[in-house]
Amino acid sequence: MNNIPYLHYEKDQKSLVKAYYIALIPILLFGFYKNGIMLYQNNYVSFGDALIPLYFYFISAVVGFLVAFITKEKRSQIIFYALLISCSVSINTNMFLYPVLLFVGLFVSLYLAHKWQIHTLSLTRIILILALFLGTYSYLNVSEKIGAFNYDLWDLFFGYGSGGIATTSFLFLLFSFLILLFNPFYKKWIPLSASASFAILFFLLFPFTKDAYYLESILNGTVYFGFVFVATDFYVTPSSKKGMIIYGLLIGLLSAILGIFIPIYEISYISIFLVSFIIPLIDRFCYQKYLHS
Amino acid sequence: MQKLITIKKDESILVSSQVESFLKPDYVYLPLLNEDHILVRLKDKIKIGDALEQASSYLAPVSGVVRGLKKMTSLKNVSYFFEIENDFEERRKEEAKIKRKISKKEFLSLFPNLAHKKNVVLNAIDDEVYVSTENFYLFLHYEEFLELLDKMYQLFSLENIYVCLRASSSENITQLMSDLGMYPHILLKMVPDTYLLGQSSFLLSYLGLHEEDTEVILASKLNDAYSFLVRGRTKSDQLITISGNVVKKPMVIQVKVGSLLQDIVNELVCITSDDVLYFANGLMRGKEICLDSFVVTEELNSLLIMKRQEKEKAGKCIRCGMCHDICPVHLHPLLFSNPTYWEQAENKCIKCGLCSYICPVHIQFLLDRKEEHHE
Repeated sequence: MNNIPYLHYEKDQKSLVKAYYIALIPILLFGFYKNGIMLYQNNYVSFGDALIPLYFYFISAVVGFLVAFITKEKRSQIIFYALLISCSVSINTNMFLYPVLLFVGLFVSLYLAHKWQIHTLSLTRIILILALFLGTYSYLNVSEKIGAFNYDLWDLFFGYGSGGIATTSFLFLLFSFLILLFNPFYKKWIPLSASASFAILFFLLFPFTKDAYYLESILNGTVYFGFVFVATDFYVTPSSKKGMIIYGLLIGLLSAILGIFIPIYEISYISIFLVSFIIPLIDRFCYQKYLHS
Repeated sequence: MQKLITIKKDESILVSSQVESFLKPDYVYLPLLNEDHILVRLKDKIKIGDALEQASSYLAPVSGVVRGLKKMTSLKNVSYFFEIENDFEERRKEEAKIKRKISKKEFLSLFPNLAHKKNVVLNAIDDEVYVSTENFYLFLHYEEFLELLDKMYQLFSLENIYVCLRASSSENITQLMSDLGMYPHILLKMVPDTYLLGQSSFLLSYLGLHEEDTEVILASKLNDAYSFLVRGRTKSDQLITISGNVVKKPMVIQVKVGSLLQDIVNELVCITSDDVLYFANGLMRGKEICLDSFVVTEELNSLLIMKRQEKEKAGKCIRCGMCHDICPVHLHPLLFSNPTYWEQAENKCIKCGLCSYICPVHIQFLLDRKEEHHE
């Protein structure tokens, strides 16, 4: 009963945050390669423009730091949230508008999250994208716009499909997921059940949609990025294994249904945001036999 | 079986294999359980084994004079203690001779369930880190224990007798192995350094035995039984481990029951820091104590002296569910704050401390619950 601080498991929340940062490295690097180096090598962008992905990462970290400083929240967590947002936005995002919107989005979300149990990260993402959609917003980079490369399914799996700056690679997301699995506090059941239900419903719905673009999206990492990093939020998830599985299943199912109507880039965030509202219900369902007997 | 874990500990804290003794205290203190049952008066002379109260299991551990009642603290939930001044004469109530024959009835007076059991497990496992008390009981008295277990085997027609100890107790194993050859029905079982294997139910589960047909006897209890059945002596002393990260030479000490812990520490323990905290019965399940007027009772098996460290401030729960995953009795520590749940969980909870041990944001579930209850 008094084991703290003399006896404690070797890992704690800091190790989880560290694991998240480490898991982010491969996809950040791939994002920089795909939207920067590769375009520069093929003379689609100048050297300066090739650094845009790095700008987004850096400015997000700075905004995250500022928001954490003002709100007195944990710095490492808010910077991590901001970095995740930078991974998920398009390379065409307005460079000057982005930091302002990110600041406002994070600030508002954190304020609302204090009042109610709201999923901060997905809300920030939604605020940001809604604001950006007021202008023209495309997830295609220069080469994708002109259809410069012909990609097969393997290339899409590797991450050459369209999407956020660093969210397109299914392969690198798998690496990230494996890194996170080493941490016992990572809520692995959420991405596992979400991916499984998403994939199953996706193939069940495919005969009705018969959309090639829709088929390609199953190999795009964008949706899974939401499952692996966003849905496993530090605070807004169910707390039991059973609850996490239900939560993941619902997110996956809703994502697959939303995928028919709206672009895949947004579906996981909207699903997470919506399903997060019923977390108290999921918890109550999981614990009811203990609380009412 | 529930998956149990090994507690991470400071490997540099090693208990010395030498046993020290503190058997001549000036005063000893015995708990007063019921004022109406007092059998002695002020200045009465008493002998070792004399009862001071009716129907109390506490018998005088020294001979001497009753000096009155005094307010003291201990692990026992009582406030007042008989103060006995030691005359160092070690007079006993009756000088019993060593008995060679022990009857079934005598065994049953100490272990009433033994008649229906098929197996006996001698548990010499200390769960708490830095504690070696049960292990030392076996280490010091293994010949007597084997003899007594053999008698038990013959009288009750037992199927098997197991002697369980940690695989890390290499000294014990070597000594036991040499003697075990004489008792083919006594099996040595070495268990891994896993937390909670010292608890009967988990140990039995590990050994694949059933609670209904197995009697688990702690090494300390077998030692008391041996003293009583063979030597005809009542319990007057016990072993306690004193260790910790500020103790120069962690050791096991044989002490008189009722001694003052402060006296023992002052006389035998070298502490390397001034700013320390004292923990009775380990860091996982024990509690922090104040050494002043703290009496050694049979509930105390160890004193850990640790350098004072700032407690990590408990953070906001990250809802990882690990507290439930690790709970050996499958409780939901997150729900402890719910009165309906706590009502059901209170009796089931074994207070092992694993939920707080694993918690990534350092929540002390049981302590928080206690404080809430207090308010």
